[in-house]
Amino acid sequence: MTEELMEKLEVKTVFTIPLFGGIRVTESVVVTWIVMAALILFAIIMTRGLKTRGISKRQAFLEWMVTKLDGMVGGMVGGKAKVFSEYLITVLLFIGLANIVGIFGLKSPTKDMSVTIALALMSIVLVEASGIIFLGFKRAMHKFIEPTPVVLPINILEVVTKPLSLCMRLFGNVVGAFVIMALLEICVPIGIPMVFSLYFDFFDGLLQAYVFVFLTGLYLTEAVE
Amino acid sequence: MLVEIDFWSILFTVINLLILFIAMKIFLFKPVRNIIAKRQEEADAAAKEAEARAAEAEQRKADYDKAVAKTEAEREKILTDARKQADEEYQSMLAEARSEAEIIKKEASTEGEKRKQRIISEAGKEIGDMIASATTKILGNVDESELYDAFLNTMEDDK
Repeated sequence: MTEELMEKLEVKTVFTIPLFGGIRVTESVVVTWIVMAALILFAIIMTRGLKTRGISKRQAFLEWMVTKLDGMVGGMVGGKAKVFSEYLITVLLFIGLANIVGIFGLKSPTKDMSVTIALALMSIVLVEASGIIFLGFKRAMHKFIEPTPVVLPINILEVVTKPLSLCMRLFGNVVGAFVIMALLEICVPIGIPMVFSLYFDFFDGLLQAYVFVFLTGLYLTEAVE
Repeated sequence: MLVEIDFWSILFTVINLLILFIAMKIFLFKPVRNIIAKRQEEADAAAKEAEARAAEAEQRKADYDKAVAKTEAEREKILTDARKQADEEYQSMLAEARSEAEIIKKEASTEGEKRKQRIISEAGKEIGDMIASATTKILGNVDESELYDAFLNTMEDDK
């Protein structure tokens, strides 16, 4: 049983590109491509033949969705950080879909810590870079000793802990949900797993995407102010 | 291994995310924002046009009202003028008639006076004749020339 579970959690290498001594292309990267393809395909299909008047239901839904997402992310990031809303929506859609892709029999990319590390890295690079771009290097550095120089070590530590917590929270939640679901399926194969699946696969997956984007937005807003 | 950190996977994911971001920008956000902005533009244009039309209609109404008021004033003026003119004419005609009547009256009175004078003078003459004839009758056949002479003498004596 444990072996079976461990095997499901293992990140397999799908193929290796014979460059630089062998570049591993893992399952999570391949599934990421599938998720990306699905999102891009969805966008292309939905945005076909947009009109200003007499719109189709498809367009109405698309506009409703984009407006809602804008409003949701716009509520997280304030002021100058609004320019990042499109990136944040992209991350939200990606993590959201990546988290629930497990129900289609694929391995969630977010179950691979490399992916969550990459996401967290991008977030922290964006946060620190936007701080420097929007405020200038001096002002951004000065933020480390605000409100008093005593907090300097804590603030320096935060540069590491922020992405670490982002990465670990996402990874831990997805793996945790997956393990619980796997155990439930082994214990009670019929009925019950479906109900829990609604929570662990759908709700928790989307919630974690939201949390990740919410925190990134929070850090961004904090950094550019 | 449960937790395995792979450099290439991280790099791939970063690249994937950047590609996805750009793709979403091109295929999702741009068209949707464009169409919403375009619709907003159209709505703004329509609202502006409606406003312009309303303003035009208002202007036209004002112009029409003005024209009506002007016509009314003109009518009033024409009427007043006509009344005034008629009144003046009436007054002048009346004055003329009055003066004419005056003249006629005057003429009539002078004529009357003249006639009176004439009658009086005629009457005087007649009376004179009568007196003369009566005197002649009384004095008998006196030569007229003698009488004149006598008269002239008397007149001269009186002087």
